[in-house]
Amino acid sequence: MTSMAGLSDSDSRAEPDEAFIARIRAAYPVEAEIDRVLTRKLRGRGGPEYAPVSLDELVDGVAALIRADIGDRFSIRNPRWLAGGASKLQMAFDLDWAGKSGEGPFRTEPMVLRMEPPEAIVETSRLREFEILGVAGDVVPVPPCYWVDAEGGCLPHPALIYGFAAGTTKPAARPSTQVTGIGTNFGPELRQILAEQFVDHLAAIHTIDPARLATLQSFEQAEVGSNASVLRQIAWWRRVWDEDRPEELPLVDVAARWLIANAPPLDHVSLVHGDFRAGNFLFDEESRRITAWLDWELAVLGDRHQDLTWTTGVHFGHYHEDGQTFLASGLLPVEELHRRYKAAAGLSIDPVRLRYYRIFNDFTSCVHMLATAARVARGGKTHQDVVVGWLSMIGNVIAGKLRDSLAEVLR
Amino acid sequence: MIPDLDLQLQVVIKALKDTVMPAVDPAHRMAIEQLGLSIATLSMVRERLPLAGLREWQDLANAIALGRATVAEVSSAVLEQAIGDGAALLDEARPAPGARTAATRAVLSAVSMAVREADDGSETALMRTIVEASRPALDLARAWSKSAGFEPDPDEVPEVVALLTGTVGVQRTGVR
Repeated sequence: MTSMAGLSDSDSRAEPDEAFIARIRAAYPVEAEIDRVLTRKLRGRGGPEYAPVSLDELVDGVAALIRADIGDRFSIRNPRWLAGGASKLQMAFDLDWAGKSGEGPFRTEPMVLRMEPPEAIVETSRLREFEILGVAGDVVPVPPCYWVDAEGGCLPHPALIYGFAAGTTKPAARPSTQVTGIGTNFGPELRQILAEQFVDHLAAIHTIDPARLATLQSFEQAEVGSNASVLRQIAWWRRVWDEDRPEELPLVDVAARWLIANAPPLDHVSLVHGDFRAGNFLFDEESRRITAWLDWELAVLGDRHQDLTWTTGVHFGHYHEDGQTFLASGLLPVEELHRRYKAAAGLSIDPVRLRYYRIFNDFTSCVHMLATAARVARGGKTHQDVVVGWLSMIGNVIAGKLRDSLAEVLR
Repeated sequence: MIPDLDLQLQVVIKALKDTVMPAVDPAHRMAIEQLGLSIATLSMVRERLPLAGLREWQDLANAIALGRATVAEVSSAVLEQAIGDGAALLDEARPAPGARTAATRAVLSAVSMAVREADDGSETALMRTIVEASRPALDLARAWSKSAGFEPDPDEVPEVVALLTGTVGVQRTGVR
């Protein structure tokens, strides 16, 4: 929030010791896999900055990971970097293989390695992401997921490998001027076609059979009638704030207290994508079909209103050409999104929960941008610190919106 | 002054745009993206550099105003001390480098502690006060970042020069 001058890292957060780590873990009860990931981050924080890793090194790591599963009957060709996204390193490559069983015809499949840098703008679990892709793929297009290196045993850092999904995040003729697809303008004709799929997919994700959700091993289950799932999330982001912030922002503490005091119980357990917006789906420009949903790392089991408010965030959309109507994710007006969603999902939308999760999402976004982004860029921990540093400024916009929302509920 | 800081930034930006960017392999999208943002970041720094001192001062003034509003709701010796130390620095003509920023942080830290420790009976009034008293600092942060293009409605955010030079009156009041 304050000026960037004098951001000193002579605080315990720059080189956390075991006493600091123990205090943090005790203060914030989070899901077990989240604790593992965040604790790993803290223990590595005093380590070296991100050092550029070569494609050859990544190819060696990928080969080791694949070999451990299917033996030697494969080859890797044409490795190349992929741009886009704010948090992960991505390498595309072609895999010549006969499938997991080794018995199919030998073929070439394009693949993507998605790997963490030493620290990212959000610190998340590749294991959870791998599991979620398996479940979400039942109902929406996602890249097929093949291997996960949850601990970074084969690769420099935790990673997963999935099939390359064809498509683009933004129209070639109307490129966004921002990074990660924020504020993409699809144009009047295309946005209508994409909007229908967008809402249908959101509804499908939120109505996945609870029995299927129960198969997710690295997720703590959520329960109808309980607010434990959102309280765990609040603890998660309070912990990240405490671990990463370069300085205090009292507004964040106010938001946390309000969220805890007003946490609503669930009326329906949904798979929540956590970052459902334009920029996180690929589409084919010719067929105008969404070909894959990406970036599932923030997925949780919880309340659909979390996604419904995230996707309508002011920083993800833009105004219609009429200058009056805000388009959620650059696709459709919020009222229309809600109307279509209710019809597609068969679920209600509660204005009280919308208000709650608007504040929740703005709270978590402030943590991402005003704490983690500043911290990891300062520490030189990513492969794209200049991108992360740029994105951190979104936090100032969101903090303003959070303030306005809190002023309304505290009146 | 030689070197002139503004000139240094100007020439770096020009070199990156005119000489380096055309030489970067267009197939290396990550390099293109990061070079573009490097130029944009340096350009923003060049715009804001003349205002950096004023920003430091105003951040501290805003924090003190927030602190004073807070102690009107809850008692905090730590916060009172931080406010006093900060107010003294506002008057200093030549503070040590980083001193005002450190003082700002000390006030904000004490305010945050007050929120976290407030008992359940008193917290709503305190929270309301902090939310209201946070507005000037949040407006300034948004104005400072406005040229990054993230504001959905840029016209609703004041210009940073106006906020720092007092032509938007609310920024300079509430300090004493």
